[in-house]
Amino acid sequence: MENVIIIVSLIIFLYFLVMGQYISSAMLFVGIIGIFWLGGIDLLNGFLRSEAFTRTASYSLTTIPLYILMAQFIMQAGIVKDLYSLMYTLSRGKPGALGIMTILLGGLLGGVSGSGTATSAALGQIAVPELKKRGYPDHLAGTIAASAGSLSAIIPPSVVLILYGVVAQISIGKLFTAALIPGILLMVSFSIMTLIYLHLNRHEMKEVSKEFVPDHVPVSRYLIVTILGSAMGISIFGGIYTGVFSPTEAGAVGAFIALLIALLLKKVNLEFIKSSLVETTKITVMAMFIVIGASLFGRFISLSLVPRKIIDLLGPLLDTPTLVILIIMIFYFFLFMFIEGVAVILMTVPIITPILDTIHADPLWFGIMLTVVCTIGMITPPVGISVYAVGSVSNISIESLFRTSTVFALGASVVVIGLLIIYPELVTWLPNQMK
Amino acid sequence: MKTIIKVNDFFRTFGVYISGLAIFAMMWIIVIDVLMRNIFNKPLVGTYEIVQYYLMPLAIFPALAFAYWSGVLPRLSELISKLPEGVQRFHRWLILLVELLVFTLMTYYGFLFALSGLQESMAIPVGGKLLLVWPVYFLVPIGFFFVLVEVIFRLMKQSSAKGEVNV
Amino acid sequence: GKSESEGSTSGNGGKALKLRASSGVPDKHFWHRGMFEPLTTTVSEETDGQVQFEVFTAGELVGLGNEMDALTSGSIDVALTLMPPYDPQRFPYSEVVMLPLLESDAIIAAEAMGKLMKSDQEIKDGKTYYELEYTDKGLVAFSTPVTEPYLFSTTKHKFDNVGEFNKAIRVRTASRVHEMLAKELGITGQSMPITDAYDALSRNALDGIIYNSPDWIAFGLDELIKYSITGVNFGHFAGATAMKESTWNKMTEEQQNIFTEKADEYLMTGSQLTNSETEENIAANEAKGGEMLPFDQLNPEVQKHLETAIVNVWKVWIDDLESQGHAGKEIALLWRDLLVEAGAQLPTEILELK
Ligand code: NA
Ligand code: NA
Repeated sequence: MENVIIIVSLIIFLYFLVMGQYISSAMLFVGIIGIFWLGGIDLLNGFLRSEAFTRTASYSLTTIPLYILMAQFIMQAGIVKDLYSLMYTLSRGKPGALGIMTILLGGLLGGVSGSGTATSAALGQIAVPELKKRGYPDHLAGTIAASAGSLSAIIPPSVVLILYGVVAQISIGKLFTAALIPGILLMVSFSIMTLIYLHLNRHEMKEVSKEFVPDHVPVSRYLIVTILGSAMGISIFGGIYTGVFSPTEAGAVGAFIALLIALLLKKVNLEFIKSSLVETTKITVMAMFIVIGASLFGRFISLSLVPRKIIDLLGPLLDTPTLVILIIMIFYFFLFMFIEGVAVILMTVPIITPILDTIHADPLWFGIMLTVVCTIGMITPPVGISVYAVGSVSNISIESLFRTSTVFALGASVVVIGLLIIYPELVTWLPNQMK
Repeated sequence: MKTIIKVNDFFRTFGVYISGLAIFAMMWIIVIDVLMRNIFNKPLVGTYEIVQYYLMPLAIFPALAFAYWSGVLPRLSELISKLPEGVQRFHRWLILLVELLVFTLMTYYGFLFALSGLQESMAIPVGGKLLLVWPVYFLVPIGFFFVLVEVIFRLMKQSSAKGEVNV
Repeated sequence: GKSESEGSTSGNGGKALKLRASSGVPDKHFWHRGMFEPLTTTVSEETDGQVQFEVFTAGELVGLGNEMDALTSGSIDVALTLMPPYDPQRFPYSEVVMLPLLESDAIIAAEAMGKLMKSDQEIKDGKTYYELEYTDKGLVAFSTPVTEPYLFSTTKHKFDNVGEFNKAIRVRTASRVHEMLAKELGITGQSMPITDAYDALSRNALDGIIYNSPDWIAFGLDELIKYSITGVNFGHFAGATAMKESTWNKMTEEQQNIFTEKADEYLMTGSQLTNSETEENIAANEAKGGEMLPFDQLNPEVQKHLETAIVNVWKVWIDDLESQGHAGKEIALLWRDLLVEAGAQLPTEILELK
């Protein structure tokens, strides 16, 4: 009977998901019917009452609103626009450089944004026209923007990492530190893929004009933005590293510094505060809607004993942990192909953590692997939200984008995932230095 | 009807400002705590508890309806948009009815939760003293109630609708 | 005693009773190894499978500290880790176990705890401790194994003189009583989940911790702690394994007796288990450069400072309870007497309290 309940509930869940119900509502709905089906109204009563409040009243979840607030202050202060313009000016007419710069910028932008969709859309608007002007073919310009945008899923702060930390009960600060090297590896792989593609397209590119039109931004402004930006980065990481504040508190400190910078740039007025706060609230509540939905869904998964059943199924394989990890990763690769990253994590991590526990896998390393797969999943068909975002703002056909982005994804998968499996220290070394 | 819509618009905007201010306050209180701790060796007592039990719920529940209304909640729209209009219309109805059920339950059980908190006059220990926490519990049913109102508005629009409604 | 007075005969008519039991600690915790695992297994065996448990650990189903609501709302049948000391609003008397003393260990405290649960001494309104805390709430409860003493440890302060106790020292505290203690010592108490303590200590965001040594290795604290005072005990901790009376009455009297007998047995053996793990944890800490500072070898002024703080915490706590209309004095004196009877040492001034 339990198996029937699980299977039918999961089918209902997928059905409503595909039919366009909000992910958060679909999880709430299936959590409700699943728990009701398993234990009647009494059991439902128990979980439905307190779940929303107990999930929300959490100090460690303050990272969600505070990192988003920091990002909002930075965006609203116009620092990002100046930074892109600086990159463009510095790259003076070299096509390869500008492509790599765009990926770097994606990484930097990703560093202040939790959302891959937002970054991809921004890059689609700013970078794609510039790249095309330099002779980049549509599909390549779009793919560069999409893959650069996807980086925000792994470069901290990242909603994916925050939610994984919450569900798997791991320090979010450690996850953030651990994600840095893999994030850089992804940037390097995307850059190499760009250079290879440029080489293959070199004949088309020569025909395009190489006229360089610099932006008219005063150098002093570049200087201010660079200094303030570095000061901010240094104080946040320095503060965490020396123990002046915790990684959780770093969100608040970062937001505060960003507010100070905006003040120095004379950008702060009532409208600035108002729109920053409203935008922050909107994104925060969106994330928390999903957290609450996923939490109830997770309770249903626990009650149904699915994780234990899967462990029993995997029983014969548990002696070869690498094989189990590989199977899990392939499974995730397909999930991320079809479903949005955050939803996948919240749905599956409650099932996966007991398995990791059984095979003694490091949940920190696993979380980073998962995030790499998730990042790559944002540029693979059929559901690749970074590609969709770029496509929708740049009018490049999704199909042509996917043809190139899938090659980028495959290249990055082989290089980065391979390296992380062979050298797990790439993940664990940096957080271990935090002493 | 117009009055109801106006009143609801007011509460929705009011809610998002309350939540926004709670987030802003969260930033300040944590920054002040960090400063007091590191400069004056005197941390702000109760920062942890006040942020966790007061500011986090305040940052989320009042703005639930706003987030729901704003269309920011993620959903998969690719497949459904390729299906015939009749199928789409059927699913818009089906999904809205499901949401009606879900948020009715969330409101009802949230209310029971708040009531039991009131009856037991729930409090948390802060710096050796007990601080009342049950009033915050009432944000849960209030927050979900306004989401329910948004769902009902969409249902009414849907029944009188000609074109696309953002479900 | 519980089962005698209830004399339930309702039973469950030959159909196996399946109870959903939730623990907020991982299965490696001594509560689980010392009590929850053997208790659920043997009860199920000795009732010939008539009482079965579906055990959820590590807060998978209900987070640690949320068990009371989960019990009353029916999410779970058995709360393996009900945490009365964390919930002074609803369980005002259970904090008493956290009051600081001088010399004792888990076994001594478990003996006192077992007697406290069964004590027929009236505390308030003609009711015993057990009746006030559990019967009044419709619960049937058993004490979990008791922790070893909570030790005061720091990463760099050696407690050479009283001046070292100042506001700049930030110490992770686990409860309201610890907060009172921090205040009396003149240091800064900081509440945070124990899982964050390693991080905070390693980054200098925290200078010390009040914690029971058998859990040091599990949280990596043995690597970070430099100095710990032994021979002065900043309290014990015990949770409760509880269920609603209506759930309890679904068992036959015989099954109830088995459960009671086993729970009482594992309270003691579980406490012995954690006691037996103290040595290896302290050894691990010492191997990594940690140093134990026996109380009686400290600077006499520091000894005095600590002892005064301990005595004052008892008084502050009693006053706090009395001011809320609870019988703070009665419960504190009962707990003191049970501790002394079991072999614990307390400051003279507390022994003289009347
Ligand atoms: Na990011
Ligand atoms: Na994908």
